Amino acid sequence: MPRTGRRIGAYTIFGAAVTVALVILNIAIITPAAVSGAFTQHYYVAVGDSLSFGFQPNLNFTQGFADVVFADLRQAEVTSNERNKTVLENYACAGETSTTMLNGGCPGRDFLKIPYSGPQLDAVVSFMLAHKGKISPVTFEIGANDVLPNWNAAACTAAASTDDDIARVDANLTRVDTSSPEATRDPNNKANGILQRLSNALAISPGLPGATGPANTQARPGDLVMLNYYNPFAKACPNSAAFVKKLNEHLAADAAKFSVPIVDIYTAFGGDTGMAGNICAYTWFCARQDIHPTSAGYQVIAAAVEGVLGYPGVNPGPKMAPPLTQGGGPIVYRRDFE
Amino acid sequence: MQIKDISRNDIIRLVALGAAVLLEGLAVLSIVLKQQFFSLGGIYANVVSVAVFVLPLVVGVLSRRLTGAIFLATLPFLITSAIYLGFFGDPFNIDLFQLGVLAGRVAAIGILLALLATLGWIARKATFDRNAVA
Repeated sequence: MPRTGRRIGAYTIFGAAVTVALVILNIAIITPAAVSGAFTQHYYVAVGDSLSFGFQPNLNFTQGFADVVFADLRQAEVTSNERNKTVLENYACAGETSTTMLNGGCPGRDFLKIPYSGPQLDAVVSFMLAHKGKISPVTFEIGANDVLPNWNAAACTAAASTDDDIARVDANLTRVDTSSPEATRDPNNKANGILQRLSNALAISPGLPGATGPANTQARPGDLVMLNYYNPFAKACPNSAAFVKKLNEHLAADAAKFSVPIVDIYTAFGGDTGMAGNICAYTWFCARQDIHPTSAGYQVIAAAVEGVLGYPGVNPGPKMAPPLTQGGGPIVYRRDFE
Repeated sequence: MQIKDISRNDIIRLVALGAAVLLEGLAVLSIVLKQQFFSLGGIYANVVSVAVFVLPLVVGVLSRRLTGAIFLATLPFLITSAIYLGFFGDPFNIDLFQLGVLAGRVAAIGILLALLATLGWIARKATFDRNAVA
């Protein structure tokens, strides 16, 4: 037994030595400068059309999904130090198509949340390059205004030009200038498509070993996610599902080429079976023939975005609001499930 | 104190254990402060992410007693939390509910580290213990 007693003594000394070493290590490293550096300013950047803008026909533009995600991001950042360091940069423009995003001429350019001139993508890329490593997350959606006008909600038919418009969205999203490695990597090169330019603008330099090319997700310090679309015509035209799903399939394929995760808004709004039952609560389509989401719809979109982002403390995926059943009940908000 | 009575193998084990705990402390600090303490090419962040998971396991494997494993694996995080709160914590800028969230995060990480250490200790018992039945 005396031997055991000696051993316990030795282990106590060992524990004390390790503790003292850790305390010294911490005091040496946790300096005011180090703590301040850990809470550097960072930005949530929203890129897209009226959905990202947060448009509602009742002129409530402050409860869009980007606003909800931003509020939750700030809420999740508990300490006051951190809370003041997150900034929402919403570059979205109502009516934006993939073409106007690249070339300018957005219909809503006179009513923006962040004033800029020229194409939205130029403004976004310029901001990203000026704030390298400080951008996370980035939500991106485009394509609805290119394609949805092809749907005739009165006749429940799609125009013949739908396929051409979807092909144009594909090209605008995915084209890559391969004339030289520099041209491929240049975020300001307008010959590159939207996803290539966003990826380039977010890429860190010099990048990680062995991680090159447009599918290099590791080289993105920001989390870029891309949204697909719900079907606003689900109730009025049950045959419209194929029309919207075709666009969503192309968006998914385009995003996959750049390893950008898709936020599945179509499923969040109820998918094939639940969309028609939810659409009156989640959009203004039944009340005002307007395809934009209601505040409740934006909450659902935000929950889906946060589910894909998966940030700690920010509404993880399984808490996504379930689709309402046919005929509805009270609108179920995401927070009820937290 | 009779350190000389400890066997040579035990001394090697304790040195390795101490090194594992200190490295875990560095990994925790690196993540908390988002700082790179030494050059490791472009894979520093990847290494640190793995280290903060693997080192508590190593601590568990190197510990003879379960209590020691849990104590040593959670110690780096507890000391970092205490020193951070002592010097930089700002309790008057956060309300009670936010404090709860903070406490929840700290508890969750503490439990994670303790469980990893337990897993390592169990692995040691199952692998090296002559009396283990498996």
